[in-house]
Amino acid sequence: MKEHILTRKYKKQQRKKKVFFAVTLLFLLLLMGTACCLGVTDLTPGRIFVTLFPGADQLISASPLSEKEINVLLMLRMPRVAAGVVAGAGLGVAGAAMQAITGNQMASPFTTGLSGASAFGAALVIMFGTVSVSSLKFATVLGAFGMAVLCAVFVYGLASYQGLRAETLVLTGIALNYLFSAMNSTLQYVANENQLPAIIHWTFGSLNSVQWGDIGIMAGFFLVTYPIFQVHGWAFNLLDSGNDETAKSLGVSVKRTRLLSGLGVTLLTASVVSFTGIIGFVGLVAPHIARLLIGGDYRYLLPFSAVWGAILVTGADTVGRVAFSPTTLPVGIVVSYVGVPLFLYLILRERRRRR
Amino acid sequence: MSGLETTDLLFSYGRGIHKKKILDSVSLRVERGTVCVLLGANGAGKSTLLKCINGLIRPQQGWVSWEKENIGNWSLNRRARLFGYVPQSISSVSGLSVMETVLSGRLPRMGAKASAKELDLVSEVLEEFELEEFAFRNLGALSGGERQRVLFARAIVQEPEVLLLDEPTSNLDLRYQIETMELLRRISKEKGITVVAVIHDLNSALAYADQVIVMKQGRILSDGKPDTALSSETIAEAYGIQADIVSVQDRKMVLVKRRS
Repeated sequence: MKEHILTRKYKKQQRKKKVFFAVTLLFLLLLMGTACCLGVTDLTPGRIFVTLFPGADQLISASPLSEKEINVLLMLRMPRVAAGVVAGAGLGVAGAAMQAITGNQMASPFTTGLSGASAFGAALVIMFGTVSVSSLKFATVLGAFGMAVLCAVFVYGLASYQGLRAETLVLTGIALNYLFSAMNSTLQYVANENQLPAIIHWTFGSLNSVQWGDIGIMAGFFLVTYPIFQVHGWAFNLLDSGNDETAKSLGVSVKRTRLLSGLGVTLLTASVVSFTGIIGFVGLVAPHIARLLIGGDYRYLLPFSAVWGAILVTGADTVGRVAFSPTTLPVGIVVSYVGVPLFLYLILRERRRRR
Repeated sequence: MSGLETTDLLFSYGRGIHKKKILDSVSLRVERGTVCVLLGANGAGKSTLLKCINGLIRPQQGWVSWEKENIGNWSLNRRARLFGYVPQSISSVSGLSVMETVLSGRLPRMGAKASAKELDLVSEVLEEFELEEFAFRNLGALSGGERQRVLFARAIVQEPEVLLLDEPTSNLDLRYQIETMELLRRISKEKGITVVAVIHDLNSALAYADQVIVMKQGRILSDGKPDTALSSETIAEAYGIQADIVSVQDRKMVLVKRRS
């Protein structure tokens, strides 16, 4: 039987989305390569190529990298770029999932209070942790992660009493955000002049101290949680309207979807934030950029949000590294400078197209 | 007799003296492949009854059965294959296109990826509902009536055995109102689908229903064939309105008396 014309159109549209995704992924790879080359130490693609294939210097005129330069590439640039990609992808997809399960376009991975909670956890360790300097970083990560998970358990637990409705989830999260904000201010108020900069610095969100091992842990959390989101693609599509009854009448277990995905968002976000500090805005805006570019179908929106999160964080971090070189601005600050204009442009473009 | 049955459904909000009974021992039976219309004033419990039937809300007492089987313990998915549900109206919509929205009706029966056969089914229903030109537009860009037709189309694509509709014609113009009622009648006769619809137009009820149930304050006021269940007395009792049932060209019509 011949395919219906709408079926054909639909399939064509799906193919277009896949191609668009592939192109975006390619763009991310290019960005990663560029980010690896840019910086104080001058590395070019040609020189890296010559280093990888020693015979190639007869084809292109480039000198291989020195020992020190290889070290810069492997131990500084590449982990930084990889951290940006993993953190951005994590925050991006977590933001999309959060917007779906709350049916709220203003939601982000931090809606349930995770940012404030992790900052509080980190600050507690910085102020009262009686650990040696060498294990301070590890203790801070653990403190941030633990407090974020604790906060989420509280929020989801409380919301469960009300049948895990979206509004309850959002409102409880907002309340906890304020609570943790107050507790953070309290800690900062009583902190001494050595602790205060450390506490505040942590909240800036940066990729400075992220190492290969940390990236492995973040990537592990990403690989475990991402499939949870993707299998709920259709459920997200239905919950996104904020209408639980529609989802339920089509066989979607609303509570289970919220709980499982909420667990995924919590673990993923907490793992990223514990290592990088608070990188805001990405989790809110990456899903929106994705939505403006490929539409609201979460089966595509989820991977697209992850890639856009990665692009935003990696791009912003590179700008923050290069723009005021040799000073490095924390990515948590720069990402808004880079993301806001892009976001505004897309919103304006969308308005024009609708008219 | 087989079909859809509810037995002593009880549903109430609140506690103690604030307790408000929305459904008060509602027992009804709708035969398979027939069109049943629920009538009654606002707040009579019609929407709640629909939601109790398909399990969106749990009654505090009583049960629902299909073909003599109590469906109280059925999974959400199994319910979704038995019942199609068209909600009253939706104010907020997701970012899905019309085609994706209608395709989501296949969710209880398909995996994550729709087969070409499912897509063709969706396409045909879209065509039948005259929604082709909107197929790739965002649902949010449609008018209220168009959205209502999209939701109806989704329920049809779902291929349920029982179709529950909450005021399916409220936002539609006259032509689509009539087409909707005719379609409901047709699918019940041709495909054996059982239809339970809440509507407000008494004349539509008389013209298209096999069975009429009139509700008042959570109770069933009358239940039966349209011309017996809908009398001047029941209309007066249910709505507080004086009306006559008149015959016009062999058809029964409700004629509301002017008050002044």
